[in-house]
Amino acid sequence: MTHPTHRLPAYAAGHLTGDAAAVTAHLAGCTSCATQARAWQATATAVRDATAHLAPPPPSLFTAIRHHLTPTPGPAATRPVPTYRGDIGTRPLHRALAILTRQRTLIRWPVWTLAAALIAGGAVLAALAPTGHAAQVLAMTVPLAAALAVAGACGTDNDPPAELAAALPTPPRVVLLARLTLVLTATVTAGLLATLALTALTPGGGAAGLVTAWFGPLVPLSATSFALSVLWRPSAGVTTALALWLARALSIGQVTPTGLSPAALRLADPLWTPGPAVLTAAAALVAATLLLGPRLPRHAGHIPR
Amino acid sequence: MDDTDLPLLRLVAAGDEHAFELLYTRHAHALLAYAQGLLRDRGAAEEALQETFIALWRSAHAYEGRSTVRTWLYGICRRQALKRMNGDRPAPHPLDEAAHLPSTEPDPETVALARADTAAVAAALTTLPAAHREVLTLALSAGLSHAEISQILDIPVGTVKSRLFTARATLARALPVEAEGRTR
Repeated sequence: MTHPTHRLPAYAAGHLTGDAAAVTAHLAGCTSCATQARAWQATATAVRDATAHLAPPPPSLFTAIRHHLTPTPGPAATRPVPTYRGDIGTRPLHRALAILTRQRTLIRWPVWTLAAALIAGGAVLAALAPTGHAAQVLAMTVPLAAALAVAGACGTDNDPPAELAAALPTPPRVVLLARLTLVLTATVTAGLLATLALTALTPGGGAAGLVTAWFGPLVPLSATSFALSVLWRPSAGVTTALALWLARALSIGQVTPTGLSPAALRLADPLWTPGPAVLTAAAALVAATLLLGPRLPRHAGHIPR
Repeated sequence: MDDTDLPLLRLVAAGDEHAFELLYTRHAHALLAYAQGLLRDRGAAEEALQETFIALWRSAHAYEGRSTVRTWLYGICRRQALKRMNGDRPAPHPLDEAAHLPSTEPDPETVALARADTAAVAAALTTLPAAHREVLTLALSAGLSHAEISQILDIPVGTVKSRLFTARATLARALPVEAEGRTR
């Protein structure tokens, strides 16, 4: 007969479920087990008494616990963590389009507003300008709008969305390219619309000539702004674009501030009337920036506070 | 027993404060005694109890039902108590436990314990090491099964059984000599 040695503690404590009767029957005929059971009973009584004699928790303890409860149970510490839920698709074309459209929401609104205002202002000025000068006015405004928008959208100063974008699976280089593409597409489209509106208002002026007049300088100016904004800082891109614009304006107006020779101002002229060499250089500059940009460590001054 | 605890816990997970209070009423005293046995300090034991129930409220939704609600509560309480312990964790020497495998034939100390009076056993109980007192509390006062205790202490069921006998043997040895003499 096997002795219920390991069931005796629970039996003595009165917690044995099921075969308590069998144990009782065994104890009646087994003195050693009966002694063991009595030893357990003595132990159980002492342990239970110790618990029973302990003063119950004071009511203030439950009040304190209630005070610490969060309104809804659950992990109080789990603040909502931003997670990326959007599905940007699997097919290459879908993905490219999705990445492009998402940049629209990430580029801050002043960038769009400024570019739109500049182009609209340029179109109005061109419409009011004397015949033959419309092309020149557009050539002065649309490229500037593009260069400033590129600096605003592609630069990394104080750009919380960039921190988010950096944490997403899309490579930063692709994000950069997407932003550049989006901003330039938007500006060029706005420029084209302005040109079309202008040709419709003032018959006689060739639309193609007008487009060439502003699209030429747009390319090198945007490339310069892009390179400086990404590799250095957006303010450098903005400043350079404005300086080149001023040089061109003074050069056209034949106004030379003291201390500057007209020749120095005319140094910027090839940028405003670009030939194939300048356009190629601009493309190369953009490619180099895309290659280098994500590799450069951001220095302390760029980290938003 | 757990038939009552599980629906209560589900209600707590849904934000029912009344169910929370019921669970507290059912278990707070026993858990406090358990924590006090481990910590031997009323203030620290109350702190552990408080943290246990705050943790219960926060993680009620995460209860997976791998143990009974009561076992789960004792497990939380044990972790909270261990956090407040200064080094002396309740871990008896393994060889010590192996030396006290239960035998069916009662030794003189067991006989003495079986005959000892309640006050003497109670006095001896206060001298027990934390690990021994803990296993006795869980098995005899809380009425947990060997399997449940093995989950709480994270030790094999065999070790629970041998530790119970070791604890009882230590208790028997700690009986006051005069009490032992008087009962003979």
